[in-house]
Amino acid sequence: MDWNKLLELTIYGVALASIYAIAASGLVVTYTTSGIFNFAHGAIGMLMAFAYWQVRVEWGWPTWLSLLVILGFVAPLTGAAIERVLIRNLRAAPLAVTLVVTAALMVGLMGLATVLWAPNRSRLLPGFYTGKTVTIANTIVTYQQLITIGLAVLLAIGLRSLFLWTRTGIAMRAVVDSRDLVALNGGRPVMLSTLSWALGAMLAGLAGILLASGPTGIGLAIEALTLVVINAYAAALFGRLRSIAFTFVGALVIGLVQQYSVGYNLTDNAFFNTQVVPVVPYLMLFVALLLLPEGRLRGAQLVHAIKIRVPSLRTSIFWGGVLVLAGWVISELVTGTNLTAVSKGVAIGIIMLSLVPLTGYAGQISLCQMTFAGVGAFAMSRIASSGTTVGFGSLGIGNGNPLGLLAAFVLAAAVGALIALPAIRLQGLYLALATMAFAVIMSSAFFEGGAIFGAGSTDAGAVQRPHFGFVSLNSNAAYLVFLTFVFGLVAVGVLALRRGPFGRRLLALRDSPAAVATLGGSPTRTKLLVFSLSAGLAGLGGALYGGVDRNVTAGQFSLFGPPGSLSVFVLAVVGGVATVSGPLLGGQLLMMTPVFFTWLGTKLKTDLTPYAQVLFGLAGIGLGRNPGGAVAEISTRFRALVMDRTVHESESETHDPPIEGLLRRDVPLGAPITPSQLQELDALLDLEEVSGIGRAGSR
Amino acid sequence: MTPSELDLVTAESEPAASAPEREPILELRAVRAAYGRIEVLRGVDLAVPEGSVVALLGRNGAGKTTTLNVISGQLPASHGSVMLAGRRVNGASADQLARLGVCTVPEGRGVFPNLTVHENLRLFTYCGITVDEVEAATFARFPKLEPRRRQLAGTLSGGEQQMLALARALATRPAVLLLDELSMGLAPIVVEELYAQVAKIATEGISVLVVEQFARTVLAVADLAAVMHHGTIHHVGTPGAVMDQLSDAYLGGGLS
Ligand SMILES: Nc1ncnc2c1ncn2[C@@H]1O[C@H](COP(=O)(O)OP(=O)(O)OP(=O)(O)O)[C@@H](O)[C@H]1O
Ligand SMILES: [Mg+2]
Repeated sequence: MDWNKLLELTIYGVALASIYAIAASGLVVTYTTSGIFNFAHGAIGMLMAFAYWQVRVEWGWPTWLSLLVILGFVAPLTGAAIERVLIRNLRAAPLAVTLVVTAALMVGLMGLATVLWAPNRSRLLPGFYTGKTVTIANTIVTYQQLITIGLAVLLAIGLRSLFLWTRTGIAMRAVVDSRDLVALNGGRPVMLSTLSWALGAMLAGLAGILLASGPTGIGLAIEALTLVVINAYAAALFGRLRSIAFTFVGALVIGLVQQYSVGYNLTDNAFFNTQVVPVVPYLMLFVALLLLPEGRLRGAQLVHAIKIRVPSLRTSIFWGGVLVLAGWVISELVTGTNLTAVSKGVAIGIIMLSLVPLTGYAGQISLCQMTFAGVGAFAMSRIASSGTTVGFGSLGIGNGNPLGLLAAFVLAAAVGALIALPAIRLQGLYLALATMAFAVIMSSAFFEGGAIFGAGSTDAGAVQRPHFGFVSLNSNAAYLVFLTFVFGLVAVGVLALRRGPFGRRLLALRDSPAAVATLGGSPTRTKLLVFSLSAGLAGLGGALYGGVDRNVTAGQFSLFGPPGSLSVFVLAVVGGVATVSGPLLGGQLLMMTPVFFTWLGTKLKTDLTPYAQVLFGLAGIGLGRNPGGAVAEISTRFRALVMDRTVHESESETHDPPIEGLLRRDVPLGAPITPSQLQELDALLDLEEVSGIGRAGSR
Repeated sequence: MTPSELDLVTAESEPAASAPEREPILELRAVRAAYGRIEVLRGVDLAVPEGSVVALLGRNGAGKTTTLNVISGQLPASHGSVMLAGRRVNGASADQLARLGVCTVPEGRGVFPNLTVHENLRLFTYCGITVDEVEAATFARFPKLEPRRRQLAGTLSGGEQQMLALARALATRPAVLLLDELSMGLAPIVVEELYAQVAKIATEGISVLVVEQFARTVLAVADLAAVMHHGTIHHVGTPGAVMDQLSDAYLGGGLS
């Protein structure tokens, strides 16, 4: 046994764990007091690390001043501003919307970082006290490691004191029990929430700076830094997003396991070392979710009810026909890369359609639809080929055999069932996190590395278009028409499903699993079925998506993409995931926005791609205000315009609300206060002492 | 109900006699409120004279809790005025009203179950009182709570939880105390004990608006009683008068 190596790895592990703990406790603080899981936590940490670089390196400020400015002002203000502008409106919003808004914020912040710090040069963040070390038992420990560990310890003590000994801290814990009661006790839940987001952003920033300046090898890389802070989510889950103490324990476990698995080449297996080890925190996130006792997972809310009107079979077939016709017209008008982008948009639309039964109807959230799409593309590439592909063998039954599409559906559905089985009892946020972990694990351990999509570092592989006897899909125009046809078919099918008994069971699953039983079904089986169905549809969409370029890359099926599972989920919800028209819009938004920005960029002779990312963030943020999705919003406006402007009256028919996808809030979020009322209130507040209405005792 | 009727009612109640021309500390004027599109309060007129205990009775679903929610600032009134010491306070938030001296003990248990008794009391210090003072006032009134300082409030008995919730009213010395169904799920003897404290609170000049199903217990300590039906106030008067006027059916047998 090499004790020195063990000690060295342990110190590395504890230092890394300290950073995870700092980041995770920030996440816990924001989640407990605002009830909203901040997907953008990692991105905030990343942004702060860049901001620190800006003042420390670029402007050459002294270290203490840089830290003070970034962690004392910039980070807390950013957090508070995010809470003010975004989070506050989300209190009564469905979980899917809160996830989308913070996920969009994450993408937006990553775009912002790219705009501000274009990755066209290398940036280095100096460590703290570089080169200074102490030697403990023959092992060299850097000052930076000591500082990191010390900070985590101080923070643990500080947070504990805050939550145990101060009124503000106690009130922050009280908000978890009952927000209303805190207000009745004279506390200000809104202010507590702002405060917690300021604190959370500060902790994220600290973690980001420590990571980027430390010997972790990450440095200032936008995506890597964001992802590593997400590692901390697993730690937060050890404390079931509530307990700071357990969060620290979780961080320690993750940090140590990660360092040991890196340090001790457990096997000589290159696949294990390069593709599994990097995602160890995600594996642990997955395991933590699966192992947490049921009781610990309560409190994760489901997606709220979204009222939609379901078109009849005839109506949906009619609109399907219109769509194919439109596809044909567009295929005649558009050429080249624009045609490809539109086609990819429709294919992504099919993948997004897979979210309609799952998220729109059943209220289950999946952040790994592109993983299923990748599995579908993989099946297509193996089955519908002539048998010359590399790796994992080939069952080629001929180029473009349509059975490849069936294989794509079946294999993806099987993988969907495989993930649904362990995750079946997870709900809401926990399901979302489990599927996110699954997406990252699959993309690193399965898609990357060349075994799946071609050899070498390209990670690219050929995917055939299906061909049906005499109908040739070789031209891009014909393929677009075919894609719209499939989209229409799937959409009609999904709507038919919704009208049938299974659809009713899905809605029941969303409202309360117990209600499924009253409809004569088992909640477990319903969930399993809808997950498989959704994964299968995504697989089908993935196979068709691959056919557009006749080629795919591993990156397309990762979490971040492009297009990536996260964007697919975000834009599906932005379009409106309870309608079938939402995915159509979402797919086009996802594929056409970059095209537009590239076009504009060439006109203006600058690279505008990062701005597309920022815009993407803004789209998700806009959703926070129209939680029913863009299509519902537009159709509401349209109806209001066309139908003698009496939308409000028709809305009040409770039996069949005609407003598609419009979220109905049970409780109005505060009536507008008129200026005169405000004046009166101000006067009242001033008069408190004088008039004696304040305290009976003062009379 | 017209304002003149209100005056009449105020005049015949005993404590109001000490200040007949003074404005009521709390007054609702034609208040309407709705959850979404369902209107629950359909024009509520109600006055709580300073220093009195007013009981608000009514069947399940009559809108009693909703009335308290409007007063405490948790639900905005869509029409009408909520007057506090003669000033219109519509639109003030729950925490502003709490700091202005409106103390609410909501339906269910008005305590934080995952905080200890001590931490619960700590939260009552928003009006500039130290936690020691709050504890002293609380334990003087409810000695039962003292040995349970470090216990989680969620593990207290129902009666002890309500005592803890009432402790806020004792410690913060509010202008108006709103109580919603203190008796819920408690044994009659515990209810008597709690209302004995409510009567004591009232003698210290705190005005109380109390919602209760246990009509007999609450009418024994009330100066005035109002009966709510379908979102409006149907009768107001002295407890005796209200008792006489009402049939058992109206209160769902609560009078027996
Ligand atoms: N959050 C809510 N959303 C929608 N409707 C509500 C809500 N809260 C109460 N209601 C409805 O408002 C009406 C009045 O309710 P409220 O709670 O005020 O009655 P109550 O008089 O306090 O009854 P109880 O004696 O049972 O406590 C009821 O019909 C109830 O269903
Ligand atoms: Mg009630």
